[in-house]
Amino acid sequence: MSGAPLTLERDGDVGVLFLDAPPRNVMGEPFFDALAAMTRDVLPGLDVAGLVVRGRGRHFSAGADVPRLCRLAASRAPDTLDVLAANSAAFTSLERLPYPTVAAIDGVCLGSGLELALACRWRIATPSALFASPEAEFGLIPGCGGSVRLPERIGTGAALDLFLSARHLDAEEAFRLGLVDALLPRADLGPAASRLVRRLALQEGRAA
Amino acid sequence: MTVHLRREADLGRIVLENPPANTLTRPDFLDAGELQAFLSDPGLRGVIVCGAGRHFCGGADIPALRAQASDPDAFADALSRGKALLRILADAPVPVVAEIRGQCLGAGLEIALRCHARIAADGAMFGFPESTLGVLPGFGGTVADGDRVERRVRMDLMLTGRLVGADEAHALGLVDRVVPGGQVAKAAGEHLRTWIDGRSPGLVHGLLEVLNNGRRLDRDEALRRETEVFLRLAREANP
Repeated sequence: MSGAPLTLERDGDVGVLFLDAPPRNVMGEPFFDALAAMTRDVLPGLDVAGLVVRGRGRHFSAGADVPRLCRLAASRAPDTLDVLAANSAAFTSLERLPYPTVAAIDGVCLGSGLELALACRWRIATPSALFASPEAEFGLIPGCGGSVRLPERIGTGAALDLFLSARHLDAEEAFRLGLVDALLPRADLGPAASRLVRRLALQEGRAA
Repeated sequence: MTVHLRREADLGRIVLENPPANTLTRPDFLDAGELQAFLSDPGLRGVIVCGAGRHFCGGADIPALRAQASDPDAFADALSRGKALLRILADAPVPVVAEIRGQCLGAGLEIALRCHARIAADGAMFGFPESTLGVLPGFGGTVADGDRVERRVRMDLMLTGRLVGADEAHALGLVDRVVPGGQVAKAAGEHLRTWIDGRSPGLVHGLLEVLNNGRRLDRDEALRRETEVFLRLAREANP
C-alpha cells in the first residue's frame, strides 16, 4: 500500500474523507500523521456543506496498528506522550469542524476506527456493520477519546461493558444502544450520508 | 435501615436491610467515609448491591421522611449527604452491579441506576411512584447523568408514576438481564466476573478512572488524562 492513507474526495457540495488502506483500513503511523495534517490544514477551511467519513472498500476500519503502538509505548522515548496526545488531538479537531460530520460505516469498525466514528457528529451504518472496542485484549483502554465519547452516546454502564468484555456488537444492537443513529442498506450508504450532511447543513443555516 | 458492607474474597457486597421492603428511613443511609473506604480497598475488584430478603429497596419510608422534613435545614443537609453517597457509588473505582429482586422503587431505583449494570429477577418491579405522592425523586434522579435512552425512560417513569415489571424494564433498557428469581444472585456474580476475569486490576481501575473523569471533569482535561492512562497501561502491558 503506497498511496495516501486518507484521501479527500467530493460528492457535489459534500466532502468525503476516505480511510484509504483497504481492505481493513488499519490506522498506522502514516494515518495518524495524515489525519493531523488534514484536520489542521485542509478540513477547517474547506468550502463544503459538511463531511462524510468512510472506509474504502468493504470495511470502515479495523483500528490502530496495535503492535506499533505497543512498540512505541515500550520504547520509553521521552516524547511518547506527546505523540499519543497529538493522535488524540486530531480526533478532537475532527469533532470540532465547523460543519456537520457523518461517519458512514460498513463492515468492521473496531478500536480507533470506532473512536474516529465517535468523533463525527452522526453515525449511520449498514445492517452488516460490526463494532467493538477490543483494547482490553491488549491490556489497554481507548486512546483517542473513545472512553470519553462512547459513554456520552450510550451511557457509562454500557460503555464499561463494551470496553471490558471487548465483545462485538452487531449493527442492530449498536442502533438500539444509540451508538448508531440510523441503519441503511449498503447500496444507499454513501448517498444517504451525503443527503444527511446536506439536511443537517440546511438546519444549521449552512446551505452550500 | 442498616447497610451492611461485606467482603466475599475480592468482591464487595452492599446489602440494604430494613425488612420487609428495605425502605430508606433517612436520605443519608450510610456514612460517606465508610463507603469511600470500602470502595477504595486496593484488593477490591467489583461490587454487588442488593437488598436483604425479598426486595431490593422499596424507596423512601415516607412517614419517617415527612417527620424529618419538619426541620427543613437539617433535612436539606441530609438530602445533600444522600446525593453525595450516590455520587460516591457512581464514581466507584471498580465495576458495580445491582442484583434486583422484588421492589426497586423511588430512591431504590435511583441507587440501582448508579450501578454499571442491573440484573433483575423476573418478578422485580420498577418505578418512581413519587409523583403519585405529590413529590419528586429527591436523590438527584431528576438531573442525574445518563444516556439519552435512560433519561427518556426515567422521565416517563417519573412523570407517570407507573410501575413496570422486569420484562418491560428490560425492553426499556433499564435492566440489562432478567433471570428466574432463584438465579439472580448467581447471574449478578457472573456478570461481574465476565468483566473482571482475565483483566488486570490496573486495567479495570484505569478504565473506571477515565470513565469517571468523563462525567466529572472538563472535557479537554478528561481527554488529556485518557492519553496519560493509555500510556501508563501500555507501558505496564509492554515492559
